[in-house]
Amino acid sequence: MPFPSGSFNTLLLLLASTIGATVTPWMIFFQQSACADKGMTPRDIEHGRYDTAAGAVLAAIFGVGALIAGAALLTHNGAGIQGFAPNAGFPQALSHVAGGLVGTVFALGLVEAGAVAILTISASTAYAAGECIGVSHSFNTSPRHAAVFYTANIGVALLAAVVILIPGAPLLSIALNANVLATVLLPVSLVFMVMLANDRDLMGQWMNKRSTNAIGISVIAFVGLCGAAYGIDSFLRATQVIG
Amino acid sequence: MRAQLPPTNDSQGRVIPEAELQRHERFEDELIMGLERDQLVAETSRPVPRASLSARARAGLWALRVFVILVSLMVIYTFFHDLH
Repeated sequence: MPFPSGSFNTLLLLLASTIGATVTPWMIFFQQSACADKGMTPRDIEHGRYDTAAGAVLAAIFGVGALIAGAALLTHNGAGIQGFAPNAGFPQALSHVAGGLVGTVFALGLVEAGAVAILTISASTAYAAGECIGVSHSFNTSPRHAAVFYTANIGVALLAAVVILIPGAPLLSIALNANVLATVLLPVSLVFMVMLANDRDLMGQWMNKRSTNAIGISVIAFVGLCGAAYGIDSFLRATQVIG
Repeated sequence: MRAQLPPTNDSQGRVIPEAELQRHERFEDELIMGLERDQLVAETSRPVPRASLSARARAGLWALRVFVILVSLMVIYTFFHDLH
């Protein structure tokens, strides 16, 4: 598997990848497009905030749960996934350590995460394609009147399926590096989002406060730093400038 | 749609009573609820003019473009390098 060597670089890879998998630039596009598509108005902001807060807390809880489940393997002399279930995935390895039920629940969680991801990522790509080209981009429009939107939506999902089905494809490395790339691209979306949120004409009374800006800019700086740290460090290692 | 509602004064400058305003808002709410989703989305769509940015902001956005392209190329290069 094409993992970069060196523990510090691996740490940067996992850090940048986790950020890219959690915040995700496509989610920003999806969320704003879905809000517009559902016809949400300023009266829905309060409920939207509860929804976002609940989603963030639940995502963090499930993320921590996955990490703890992963740590279960470490108590068995660090045998790792391959030691428990050669040529199989993490859920099967987990079922050898913590029982079949735990492995099954974890596998169902992965299936659910994949189902949500394929729906939202392909939808966000379709929304973006429709907005860029300036054609109809809504689930409220029939496929005949929004051909680009639905074609992009289904096309992206099919493309992802084709990549996964390539025999011997380094899926873990592809997933990690795609998430790192998301982290690198994330500052662009976040900067534009902060700029829009500070536009008084556009936002009116919902314009960002100073404290919100301070938090937002700190997050952008941290995300940019993590992406740059991994990109520069791994590039210098690959070109053997540093060992 | 609500942005198109008349202000609290009518066209002749008379103050509209609160009860009448609330009645008007209720009517607008019922109208909104009666719209199909695509009608609502189309009705609430408001094109905004191009933002006028300061020279510093434009320089910052160019720096961001350069940063993103350079680091993206580094990540992509490393990925293919490690594949081999």
